[in-house]
Amino acid sequence: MLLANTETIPGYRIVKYVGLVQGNTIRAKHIGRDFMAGLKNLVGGELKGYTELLTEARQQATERMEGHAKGLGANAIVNVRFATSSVAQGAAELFAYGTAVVVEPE
Amino acid sequence: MSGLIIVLIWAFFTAVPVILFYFIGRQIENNHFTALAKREQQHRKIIVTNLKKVPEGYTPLEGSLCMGSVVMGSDYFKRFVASIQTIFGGRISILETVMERGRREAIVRMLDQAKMKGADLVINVRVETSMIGDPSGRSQGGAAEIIAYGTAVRQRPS
Repeated sequence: MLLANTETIPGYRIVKYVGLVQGNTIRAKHIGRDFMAGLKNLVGGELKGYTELLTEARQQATERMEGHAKGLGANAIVNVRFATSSVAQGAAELFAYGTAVVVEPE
Repeated sequence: MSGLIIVLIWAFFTAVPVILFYFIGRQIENNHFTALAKREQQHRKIIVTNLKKVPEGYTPLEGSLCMGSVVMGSDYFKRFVASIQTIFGGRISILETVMERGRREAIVRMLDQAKMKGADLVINVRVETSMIGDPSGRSQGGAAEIIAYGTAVRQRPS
């Protein structure tokens, strides 16, 4: 599955537009990570536990989006966008969406 | 007399962490800026743009998504100073460097991915920020997630 956040995929030609596809996941931080992040937040800098958590979650949202696109018979997704929102205390929704297309090499 | 002692103890327990975390935080920040400058230098051959299309004069061979993300937190000293500065309003310069570090870190991580794909340029770069936990930043959860993503493009060898 080819992904791009541009309207076309460089080096490929779009032969068919399949439609909007999306994937999401909601993750909550857990106590252990929260505690370590709390300590890290005293000295500043990157909170690695959270970075890993959100990267993993975004990966899953992207995979779900790809699964959706595959189910529709697409082989690429263009104009991919990522969005994040807090849905509850300590939980975040990671959302990925884009336009599923069928491409072929130029 | 006992009132004075209580005030002194309170001042001690407030002032000591603030001063301590000022020095620790400053050291970490300086190290981070040095590391960022070095890593940005390694990626200076990749052309980064937020234009939607491949700029003229480049012949793209293939492109794919690359991204980088980081969760940045401020330190105890910065939060303490920022909480005082917010009373008066205006510019809160002490937090600007935190966001700058986060953005640059996210972009460098995106470029790390682009380099692994052998990209010559990254187009349509988007940088997004979202708050995690308490947006006021006063409680321990106050942190920001910054993501940078774009399309890594490999050129046709000339």
